[in-house]
Amino acid sequence: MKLATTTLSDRYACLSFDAMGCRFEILLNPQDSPLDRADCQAVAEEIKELVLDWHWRLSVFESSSIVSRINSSPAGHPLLIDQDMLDLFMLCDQLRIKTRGAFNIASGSLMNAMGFRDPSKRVALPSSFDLNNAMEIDQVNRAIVKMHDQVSFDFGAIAKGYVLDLIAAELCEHGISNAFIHGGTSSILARGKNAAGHSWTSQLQNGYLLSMNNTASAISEPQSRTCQSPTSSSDARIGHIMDPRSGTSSTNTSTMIACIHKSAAHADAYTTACCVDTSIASELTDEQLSDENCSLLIFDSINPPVIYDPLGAVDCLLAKEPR
Amino acid sequence: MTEIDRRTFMTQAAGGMAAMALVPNLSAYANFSLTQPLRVGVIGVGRQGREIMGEISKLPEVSVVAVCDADERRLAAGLRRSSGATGYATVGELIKSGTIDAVAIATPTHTHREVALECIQAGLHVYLECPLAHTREDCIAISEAARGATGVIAAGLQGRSNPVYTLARGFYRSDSVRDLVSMRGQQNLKTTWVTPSNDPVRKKALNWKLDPERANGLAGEWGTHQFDVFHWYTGKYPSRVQGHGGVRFHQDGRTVHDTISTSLIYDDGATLAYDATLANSYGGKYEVFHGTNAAIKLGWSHGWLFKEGDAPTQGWEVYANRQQFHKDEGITLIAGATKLAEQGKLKDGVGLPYPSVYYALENWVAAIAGSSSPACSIDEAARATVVGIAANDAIKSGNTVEIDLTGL
Repeated sequence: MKLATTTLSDRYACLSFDAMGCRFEILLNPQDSPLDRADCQAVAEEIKELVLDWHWRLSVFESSSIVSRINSSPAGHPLLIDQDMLDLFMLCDQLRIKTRGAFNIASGSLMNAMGFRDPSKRVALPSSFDLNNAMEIDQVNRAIVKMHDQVSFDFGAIAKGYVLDLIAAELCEHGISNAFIHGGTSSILARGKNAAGHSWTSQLQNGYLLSMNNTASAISEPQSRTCQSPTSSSDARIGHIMDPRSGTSSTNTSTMIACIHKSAAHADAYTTACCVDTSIASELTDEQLSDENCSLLIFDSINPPVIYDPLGAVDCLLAKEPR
Repeated sequence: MTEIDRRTFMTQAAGGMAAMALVPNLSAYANFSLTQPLRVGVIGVGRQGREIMGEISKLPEVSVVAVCDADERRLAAGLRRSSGATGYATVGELIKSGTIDAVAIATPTHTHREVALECIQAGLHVYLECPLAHTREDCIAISEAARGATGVIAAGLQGRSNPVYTLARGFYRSDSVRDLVSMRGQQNLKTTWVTPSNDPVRKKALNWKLDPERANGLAGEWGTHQFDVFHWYTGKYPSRVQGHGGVRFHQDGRTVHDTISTSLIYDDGATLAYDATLANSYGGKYEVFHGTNAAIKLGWSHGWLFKEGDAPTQGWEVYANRQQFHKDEGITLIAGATKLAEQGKLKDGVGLPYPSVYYALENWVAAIAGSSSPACSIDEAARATVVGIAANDAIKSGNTVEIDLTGL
């Protein structure tokens, strides 16, 4: 007797691959879509190519990437970039302002200085180095200017969310209304319903379930990557999230942040900013959160989650599953 | 200068400081010097065309100033990937603009003849993606036009400009490999080959590869590139081909096979076994030459030499980088090893830093600058394409097909 089983690929167009330092998984549910399952599979492949394309453009570990070329260019000269890159730089600058500087792509300069990229190449930044004045953007001529030779951009805190937003636009273009896509389980895009007709759910590491209804989410944990502290002679290790305002590793060691937002890029940026400084969450006004359909959840290991949710979107936070 | 303040920046910006293009360090493998900046138009800005745009942006003194595509969405996507290029819906408008010196053509295969001839006749330098065309007649027409061209005409068969492949060919032609026994190639990639679109008219236009009237299946679209590697190394062409294929996985109504297996036979008795599939990715894309002293395996970004136990040892082998593949130990073939060693980057040099298409474009630009000839001529590309067409004919018919390269 042959057991009848169904697999994910029977119900969804699915694809998984490595990019941006993590595993991306794509699930497209063809229900309510003008495309059949085979065409949905082709869309999944297009999505993969989109992600890989941005991976090669943004990777600081590839010397020929656009970001690496920008980082190795001298300060003071307008550097020509394409419209897609310009849009990304402008979004990041807007988010820097919204988060009072707690999110800042120029924190790559700090990561260099702290030795995260190459421990043998730590170089102290001068006291005059101002991360809030790292670049000028020339929208008319599609150029950016580095304000200091040591400015180094790192899009690691927003890249996954940014490509998820681009993917959302692709899904809309193709009329696909049911999909679940994540990058490394920490940046998630959910549209519509799963094959069983239910909202997509995502389980956090602390056991809570997020039910997602046409939203994106991002989760940030402070100690997920570390390096040896350059200022300590002991074997002490420090978290990878830099505080761009102080120029040091964030002091947050235990609080996990989850953000639900209509934009995955915003979710990424807000979780990073709140991970740097949890008080950012309380500084974002109800009006700001409402305008953006944004909810923030702050978890520590002891207390119940603190939830900023002016729209009541987090009826979506289900009971904690027993471990 | 390491830091500038806002006042200084504003002053300099008002003075119209020239913007810089983002160019990495010059390639370790080719040097050229253009007498004036080269203005390139990219025709066909789908996925391949946009990749070409990205690689051109790495070349010094070369810029994409125009993009051309008859598909509005692709044209818009191509423009977004440029730094201020102008968009054109037709090749005629692009040529008439007078703003370009050269074109890179990445349109569907069956349109190559029309587009290439128009550009060659306009006196432009041309880089033409491969396969060259979808019929023997179109290949001949393009070859004849290229012979009378005033510009530099190069074909996009990337093996001939690939630094690892150039290095490995030196080993092949030395006593390292000795006598050729057989050859093998494959390209395995699990993919649909479908370009999705909700518009049926657009979908038909975009999915030309799955139309047997407009393309030559896996043997034509993929095999051509790899057949040329075998031609280049051996200096010979197969005289006949057998093959078969089927739709093994993508049961979506297509008639173009998603899996093929071919045997290309040479007059001296050597054979080339070539397989390709859209249903499985194991092994990826590679070519192998089996010789009596060693085998060479080429994987586009990497290459290896697998020596037989009774082959003589060369002095340099003592210092060679090696990789283990189950029971086989391969000597890694590193292009530019001496230079990389001088720079202290030898350990970083295993595997090419850029994709193959970069080196093909760099070679083309170097030829335009006068420092070399194109690595792959249109005539060689025509021969490789006709072999691919013959292989596809053999697969479709189930018959042995004679390969006729007369006039090419």
